[in-house]
Amino acid sequence: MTTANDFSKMPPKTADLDETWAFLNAGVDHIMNHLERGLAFAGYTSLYTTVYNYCTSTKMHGRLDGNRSGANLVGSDLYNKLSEYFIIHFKPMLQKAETLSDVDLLRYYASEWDRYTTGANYLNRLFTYLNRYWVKRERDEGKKGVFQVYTLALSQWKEHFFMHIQKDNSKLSAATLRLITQQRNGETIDQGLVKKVVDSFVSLGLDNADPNKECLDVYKEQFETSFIHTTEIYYKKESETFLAENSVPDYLKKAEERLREEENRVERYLHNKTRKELISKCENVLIREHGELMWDSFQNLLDFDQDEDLQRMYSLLSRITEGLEPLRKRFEAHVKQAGLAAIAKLVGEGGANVDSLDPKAYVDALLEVHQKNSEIVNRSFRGEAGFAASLDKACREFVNRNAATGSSSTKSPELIAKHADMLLRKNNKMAEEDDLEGALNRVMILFKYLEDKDVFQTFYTTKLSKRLIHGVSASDESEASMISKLKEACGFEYTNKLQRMFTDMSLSKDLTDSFKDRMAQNHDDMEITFSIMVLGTNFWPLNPPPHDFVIPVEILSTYDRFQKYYQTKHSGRKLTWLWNYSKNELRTNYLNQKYILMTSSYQMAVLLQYNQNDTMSLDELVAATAISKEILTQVLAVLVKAKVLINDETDQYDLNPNFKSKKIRVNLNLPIKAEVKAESADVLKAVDEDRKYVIQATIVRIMKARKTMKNQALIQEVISQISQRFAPKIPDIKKAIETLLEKEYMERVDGSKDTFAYIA
Amino acid sequence: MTGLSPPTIFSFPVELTQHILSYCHPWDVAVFSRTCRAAFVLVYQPVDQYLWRQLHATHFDRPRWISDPFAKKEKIIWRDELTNRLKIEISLFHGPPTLMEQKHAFDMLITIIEDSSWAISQTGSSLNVAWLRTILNDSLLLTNLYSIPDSEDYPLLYARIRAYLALTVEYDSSKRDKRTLELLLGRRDKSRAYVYDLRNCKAENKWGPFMSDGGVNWVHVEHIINVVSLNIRELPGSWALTKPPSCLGPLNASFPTHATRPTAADDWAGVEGTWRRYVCFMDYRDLFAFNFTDLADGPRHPKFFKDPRFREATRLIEVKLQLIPFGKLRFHRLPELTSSKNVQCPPLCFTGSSKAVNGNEAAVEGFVMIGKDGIARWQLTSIYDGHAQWRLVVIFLLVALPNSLKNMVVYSSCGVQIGGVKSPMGVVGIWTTTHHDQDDPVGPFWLWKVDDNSPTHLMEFT
Amino acid sequence: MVNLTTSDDVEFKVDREVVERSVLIKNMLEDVGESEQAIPLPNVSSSVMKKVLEYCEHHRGEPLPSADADQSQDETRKRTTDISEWDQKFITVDQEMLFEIILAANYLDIKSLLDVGCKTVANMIKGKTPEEIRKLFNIVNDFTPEEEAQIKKENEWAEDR
Repeated sequence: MTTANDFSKMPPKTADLDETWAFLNAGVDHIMNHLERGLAFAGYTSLYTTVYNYCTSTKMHGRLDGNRSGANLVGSDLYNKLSEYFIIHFKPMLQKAETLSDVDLLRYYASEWDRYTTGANYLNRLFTYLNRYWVKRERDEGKKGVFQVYTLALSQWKEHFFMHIQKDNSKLSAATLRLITQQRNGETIDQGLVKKVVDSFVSLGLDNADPNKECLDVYKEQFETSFIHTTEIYYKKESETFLAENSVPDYLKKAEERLREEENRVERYLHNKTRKELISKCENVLIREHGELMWDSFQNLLDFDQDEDLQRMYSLLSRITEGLEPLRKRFEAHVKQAGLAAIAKLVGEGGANVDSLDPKAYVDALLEVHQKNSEIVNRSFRGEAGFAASLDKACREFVNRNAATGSSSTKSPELIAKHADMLLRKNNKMAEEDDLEGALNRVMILFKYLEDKDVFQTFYTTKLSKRLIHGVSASDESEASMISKLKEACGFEYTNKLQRMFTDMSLSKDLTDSFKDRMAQNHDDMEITFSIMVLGTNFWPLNPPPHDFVIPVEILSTYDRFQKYYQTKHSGRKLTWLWNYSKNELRTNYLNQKYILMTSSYQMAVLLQYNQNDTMSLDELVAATAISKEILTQVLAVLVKAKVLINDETDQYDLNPNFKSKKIRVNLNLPIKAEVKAESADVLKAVDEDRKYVIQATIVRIMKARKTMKNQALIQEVISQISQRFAPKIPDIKKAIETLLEKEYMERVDGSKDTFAYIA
Repeated sequence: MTGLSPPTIFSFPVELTQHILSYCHPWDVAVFSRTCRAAFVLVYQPVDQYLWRQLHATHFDRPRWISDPFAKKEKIIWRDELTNRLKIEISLFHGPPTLMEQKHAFDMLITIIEDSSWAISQTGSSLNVAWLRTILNDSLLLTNLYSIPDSEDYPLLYARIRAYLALTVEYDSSKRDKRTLELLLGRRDKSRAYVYDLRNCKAENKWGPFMSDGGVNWVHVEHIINVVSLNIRELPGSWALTKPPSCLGPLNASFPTHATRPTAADDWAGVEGTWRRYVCFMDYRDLFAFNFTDLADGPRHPKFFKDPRFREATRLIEVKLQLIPFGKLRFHRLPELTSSKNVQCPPLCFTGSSKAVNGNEAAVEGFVMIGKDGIARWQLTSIYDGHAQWRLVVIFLLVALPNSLKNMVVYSSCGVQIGGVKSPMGVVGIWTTTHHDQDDPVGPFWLWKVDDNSPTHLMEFT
Repeated sequence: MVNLTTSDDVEFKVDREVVERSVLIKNMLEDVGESEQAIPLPNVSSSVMKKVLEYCEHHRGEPLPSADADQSQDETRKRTTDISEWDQKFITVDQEMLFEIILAANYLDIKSLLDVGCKTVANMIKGKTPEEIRKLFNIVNDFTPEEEAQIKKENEWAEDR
């Protein structure tokens, strides 16, 4: 038996290769096989010194034979002996390995690997001198097949041990794979063992150019490729079997679990570089191959609000590139259908309620669909942009076109604007103060989807002007808040007019105050409480009365004084008096009970006639007020209905001396039917005019920048620039182009039918 | 045991003797080889190249061609590499050399300079520089370089050497005599006459310092260097010190090496980072007067610049560049690539920004390509506000452009990297307009790399 | 403390930190473990060992060259023949001792000491004629006249300086 002490008897310095190696062989063998018996300093030194002595025993000679190198380094002999040693060393190991299989083989391989690499580390240091000079210089000369001793040991292990075992049907890697399959089947395995074996595959990879660099060729060729293949087969079979017996939601759970397991597997005992391919292969077999089935059961999950399953399906399908698009398409159709159904239900069979549709009910129905599906997007689809886009697309569709709108593109903006108006009116019961902001935000959700935002704008402006003139706005803050929301959505230009309206209101208040101050200084006969609004023609959707109006003498002096006052302040400005929007209060002195009649200017003009007469004919009233007969009859009808006037004979109107009312303040100022009807039509006409102008302005702006442009490109550009406000129709654009050609803003380029040039 | 027979130098193992010799100067190694057979064998019949590789590494930078993908992959014979370099010491010190010897020496000098700038770009230091300094200072080469007439047998080679050494950059008035200064200023007038000669900027030479066969016109390059570097010399205050590094000068502390600012693996030209750029130009009217009138002894006469009223403007610009994928250029079309060598160094496309002292900022884009000669060619354009224009920020200070013309003035620059790829010396070339009309303006520029954190210290001087 | 025994059976007791400048001993202590037993160093005599330990003691605590420094191609880039003042003084010994120190440093794997020794020898060669070098190292000129011609040819690149 060899003992550690034997190595102290080292050969003399002059020893030849055989004598040297005989000594080294015993030492190397001790280190490789019996290291557990220890190695003392003396033995260590003897082995190191023997290597050193042999390597430094240069035999210099002084022959100048030109061709042959005379200055040799010693080392190759020892290196070769060591290489051969390893081969012999593997012989019994190979015999043993042949008798083993599966876990037994893996255990044997792993324990031998530990023993061998430990020994090789010792040898690497004992042969330091060989490494330092001979090996290094061989490698510097480009001999990439020469390695440091430790690397040599690994390279020999690979070639003469590992590959020999593998030659037998990949015995080693196959055993490893079987172990992994057992684990997949739910059995408990020795994961540390798998890790050790797999790690050895990684260590055995050798980059000849740089042995210190990690090289995965052995790991890949001997293990990874078949591992991936086995995995693919395993899951293909499993998923098919499972789906044959279970529901899709159950499968989703299963697939999710399996993917997590494989991630963990990489973590536990595989090389990190395997992750990408392994996971992508698993995704392929577990998800992609069953994609069709998942897509088909998506609708079912939506119909029954199965949130968790939806979420699971989403996260699985999001792992493959083409996985989500079919879901998005289906989701879009689903949302659109839900929106259309909600409105159809509201409108009733055959559109029964179209005309009497309550704006609030309409808005609520739209919002409910949006909200429900928006929640699904956020909860089940993690707010993913594609699904959000599908939701938007669907909403845009049913918000603009549904059973209530028919083919009209203005119906939806009108209803939504009306709803907003009602929200912003004083005494609105639809929303508590706190909730008004929320309700306005919800209006904005729908507003975002409107295609014809300019229609909304026009309706909104009209409604706003009414609220302001009549003083029925809920609060300045809410109005301002809504305007800032619109501004945020559509920009400054969109809300410019609205903001100017507020400016006019506050200027008017100042104007009224300063006028009153002035009057108080100059005349103390101001009997009439007077306030005025001076509104910029361009910003307010108001029309002057279509007829003359005789200003009643009672207010004439105030009227004149204000005209003069205003002229001194703003000379050159012409005031157009909008009697049709003015209102008054009249105190009754002719009755026992004093009432306050709240009237329109027309009503006031009529009633004031009765200061002189108790009875008047229709013609007399027309003459006295200059109001057209058509409108006057309607004005009178309201007064008669309220029993202020009595109309016993045709075209004869008498003051009712016995007028009675439960309230002291009597509101006579009710809208006339003709006015209401005209309103919507006016709005739409205004929108059309506006659009013409916007299209023309846009064309001019584009042409100015581009100088020349083809017809088709120009139309495209116009559409893309305007579509944020409304969806322009191509015939309208063509018409605008014709107009601009006529007005010589641009011209056709010579010899080309469809190219235009800008005329500066 | 060791005490019994005292060791001699030949009782050492070979590896030790060679290790000792590797610390000797090559001349001493040569002497040692003459002492006895064993010594001779150690030096001249070694089993491997260890000794000669070490000797080379002790005295010279690693030859650039080893890492140069264009060079033929031959086996490196370290002994030849070293002795070829050392041989020129002899031919420079022991004149007069024959014409062939001089050509060999100059070819080798260029190699040594290129090796050194490569080493600097990698590590920030170079062994070759120290060697070059000694050689050039102790030999008559420098004096000869600037006194020999322009008509030599190898005009391009001489011009290239002078361009590489860029001694006009290094010129230090406190150390050199007045006569040299006058000599240099005289050269600048000649160089100006060449650089601002509109006939030298034409399609055949690709609007830059090139020959009609595509090779680099080193004569042109040298003139550009003379003009820019002597203009820098006259700058006020510390700007005169803000200059591109010459190959022998102290290395600009702000030069980013591979160690301080690693370049991306595909950035073979070291494009990404911060650059400084000097641009020189003449008043447009002067340029015309110089080219087309008889103000000074006929058109394009160097005497034109002697007029004390003559002014040339110099502007320092900051340029920041980054690579973009091949073919993502918006305003350039890459020329057809004829050379199959380009696999290793494909054309690099870049974008970036350019900033001048008056706040003129422009977007920059362009590309770098390597020529068959292994020299990198740079092309760049300045883009303002999405339109290709102001290649060099406003050039015509004295000409007010009507609004409608503004969009149509576009400047383009073509240059050559001196001192080899990634050289700290940077790129010199010519800027002109992209229209390349016959009487478009023209001027020299010099672009070199600095550290990203270098203080922005721009200026304009007329 | 580590015990060392030299070729002439002299024992040295040295701090582990000092003696670990020798990579051989450093590795050995790591592999075998520290013990009372002496480490035999059959290739170093006590007189040389004394000098070597003097060197190690002086350089105690300085960083050792990293294990893979040997691998790097650029190892030689910063080569210089400069020797620090202390080392210069330390290495001023007779030629026999100088050679012994070089061999011991090579054996014990003390790179910095090996370099100091080799540089010193290189400096001795510097600027000398062949004859002077022969005298210095006790070399006998054994060239034949034909060989002289061959030598001249090989050294042409260095002629006529």
